[in-house]
Amino acid sequence: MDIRWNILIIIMGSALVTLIPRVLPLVVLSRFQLPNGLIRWLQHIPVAVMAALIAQELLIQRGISHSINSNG
Amino acid sequence: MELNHQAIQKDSFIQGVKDCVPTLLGYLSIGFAAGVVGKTSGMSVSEIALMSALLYAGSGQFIAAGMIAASSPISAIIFTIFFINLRHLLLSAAIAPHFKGLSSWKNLVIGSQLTDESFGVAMNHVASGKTIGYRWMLGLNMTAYLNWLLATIAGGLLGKWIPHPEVYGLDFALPAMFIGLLVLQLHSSKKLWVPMIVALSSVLIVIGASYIFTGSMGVIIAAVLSSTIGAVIQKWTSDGTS
Repeated sequence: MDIRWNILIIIMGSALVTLIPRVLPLVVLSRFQLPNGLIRWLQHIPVAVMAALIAQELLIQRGISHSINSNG
Repeated sequence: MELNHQAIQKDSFIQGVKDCVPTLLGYLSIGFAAGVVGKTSGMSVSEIALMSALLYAGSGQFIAAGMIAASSPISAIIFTIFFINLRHLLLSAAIAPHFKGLSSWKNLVIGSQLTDESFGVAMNHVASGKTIGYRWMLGLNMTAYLNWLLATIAGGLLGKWIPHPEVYGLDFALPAMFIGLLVLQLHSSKKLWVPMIVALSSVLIVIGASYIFTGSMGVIIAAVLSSTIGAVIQKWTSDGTS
């Protein structure tokens, strides 16, 4: 197993900080009856996230933002 | 009795596996590309496999490879990946009402394998009037997870012969998959114009935000704002009844 220490720390650390936002809302929110307003808001998340990801992939990363990214 | 039987059949592991199939090409090609990029950045195949097994997030793994190649500090890499994957907070919250009453442990298992794609498939399932259960979600997630793991390992093994994976158009598999999931989501909506406005405002906000914020922050801002727009429109047009 050729796994270097620094890479192992990167993997463990990034896995942990990715896991927490993934599981926390599911574990906490699924225990409560959420208010209607919040559910109505959450229902729009799928379309909103997918549209944003598509725009980011196709419009920003491949075109207009090249100059922006190189600044920071 | 008949109804019960159908409900049980719907929440089956096998059905979850089947419902994952349309997204497999995306997982395989993106995973392969992630493996190639990992190899190019100097990671070993074991490191690539461990990263896929534990981190299990495409965008995070691409960024990790890029930053490792650039010899960025460990703390900066971890913080950047945290930021990029923060949108899972929204996905996890949005899917939570559908797993109400499930034990914390089961919710933890589902959440740990939540991706943009599995979330998209699950929410399309909901939008088309079907219910999602624990076993179905597990079948969907496990299939995606295994394919991702194997694809990144394959990319790591073959990576040295493919220095520029983007030449083969593999990087277009990701947006293609998101477009497919979005179209399905819109297709199953009752009032089409509301999600259309949400999608359009999300696109405009993420483009606007890209001039000020990093890409992942832009996605979060766009998702939060355009969902709010959608919720407000829905409240106005339906007098509070959803």
